[in-house]
Amino acid sequence: MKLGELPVGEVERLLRREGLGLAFGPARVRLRSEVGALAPALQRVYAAYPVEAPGGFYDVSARLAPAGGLRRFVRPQVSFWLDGESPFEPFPADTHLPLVEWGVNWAIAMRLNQHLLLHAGVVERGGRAVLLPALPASGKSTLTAALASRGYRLLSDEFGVVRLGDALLLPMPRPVALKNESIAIIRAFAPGAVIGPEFPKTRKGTVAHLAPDAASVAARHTPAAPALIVFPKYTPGIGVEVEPAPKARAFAQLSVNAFNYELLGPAGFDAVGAIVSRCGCYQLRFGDLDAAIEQIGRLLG
Amino acid sequence: MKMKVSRRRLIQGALATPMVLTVRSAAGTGAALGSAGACRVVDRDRYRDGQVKKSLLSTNDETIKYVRKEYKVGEIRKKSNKAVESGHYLLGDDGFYWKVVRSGDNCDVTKSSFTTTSHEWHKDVRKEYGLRGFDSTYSQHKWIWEKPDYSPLTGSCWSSLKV
Amino acid sequence: MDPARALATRFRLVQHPDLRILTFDGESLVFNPRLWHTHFLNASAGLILECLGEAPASAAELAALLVDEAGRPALPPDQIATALAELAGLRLIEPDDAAAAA
Repeated sequence: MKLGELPVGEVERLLRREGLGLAFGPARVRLRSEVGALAPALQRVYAAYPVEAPGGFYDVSARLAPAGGLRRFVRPQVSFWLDGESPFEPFPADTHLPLVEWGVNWAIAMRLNQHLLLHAGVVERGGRAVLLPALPASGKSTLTAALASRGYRLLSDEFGVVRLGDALLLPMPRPVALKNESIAIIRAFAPGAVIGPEFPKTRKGTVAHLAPDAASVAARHTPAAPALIVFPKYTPGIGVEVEPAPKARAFAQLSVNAFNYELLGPAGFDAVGAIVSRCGCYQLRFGDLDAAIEQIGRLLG
Repeated sequence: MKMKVSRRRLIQGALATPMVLTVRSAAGTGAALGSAGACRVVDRDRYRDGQVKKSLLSTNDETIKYVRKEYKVGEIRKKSNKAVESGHYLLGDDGFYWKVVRSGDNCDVTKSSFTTTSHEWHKDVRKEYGLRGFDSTYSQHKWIWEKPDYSPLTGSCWSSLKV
Repeated sequence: MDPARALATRFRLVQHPDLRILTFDGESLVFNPRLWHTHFLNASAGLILECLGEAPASAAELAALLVDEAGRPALPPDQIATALAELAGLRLIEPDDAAAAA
């Protein structure tokens, strides 16, 4: 049964009792929550996900709980708990979903070290995957969301999960975190897209989450071969400009920006090397999403 | 050793002072997620150079890095007379067998006195999954076995267990 | 090691099972297992490392090996010595003791 098919009361019951299990592909996550408002928000952005049976192994067991003491009532806050420990400062209670998403991201980045974790959006078409490394002000999430809205399979907007050994990309299609202006841009670009509630006043401004589509979720156990690396840079006022990126420099940028490249040592080096060897590498400056998508399609072939 | 006679040619237009840069992570995890430092996995059997080991370890590390690991748990027996030991064990890379005791949600792992010298694997019983955490000293690290209420099942610490 | 001493030393590439060298269009990435770092080498530095991987050499010998299309030495020995000192500091290369002992 998919999460979107359950009555919201049942979702809330699962969160309060045995936990809500979700299998993201290479990572299994179980969530519990004593914060009632989380259930409908979670259900909206994870609607396509099957609910996992409570047993079995979970890489991440997380819990959202109201902060103790006065903060339970006065400007209430919520805390994120991971295996009995609370790694972050509490958040305002009305930013529950962003806290869960960031907390789970953090836990995955800490734990999924049997794979190389690139900081990148990843989409796929025709069996060929496009990596969009997340450099500052790149517009990576907006571009990833736009590509996913135009027929590309979403593998992830945050983690390029690289299987060591064969350097295939493993999908982990979770909600795409849109911030500030990007929310309106994607609403206009893809009017049929399912976007969760907006959370103003987070530490990154206003945040909302684009739900992954059902096809991407259904294919979350199907790896993809890397074919194209595109370093995006959002540049207002232009259409699209593209130039080849020297591969050695692409290697350096990918590895510097990975979550656990240094941890993995030679295995990480080999994985990045395999990806760069197999992929065309380009810098892409874009101000127009349609033009960017068309250009990426041409590069992908 | 004789030098190769073949001559090298530099790519035209690329005559440049030799340059060596070290690619430094922007504390990938740290920059993206705000945590401090990163722990590196060191295979102690292979990197016995103390200087290398020291350079690998962040001195500012407050974060434990985890790797998901599947372990075989089973029965062991004495090599001498094939007598099967009671209980279930997993094999550490220090050559010792570690006793695994599951009791409902609880799991405890303790080092036994049995080694690969005195004992051998008898049969598989099940698999256990854990998250193995490495701290900055590498010699102390913790397990988190899967458990429904999110607290670590065991505080067992042991050193030199390979990933 | 300072460049002046490197000028007078014959070096060889350090052998290590986890050493990795990958070259794209003349530029190289090197995984250094002794420091657990990754290094970026431009074309000139990459060729120096490549030569030392084939046989030990001094700065003067490398200067004779690394030529331009006209066959002239492309890099002065002192520049090569500076690079050698840097590579030695990173423990990617080491003095060729066998040659010293011979």
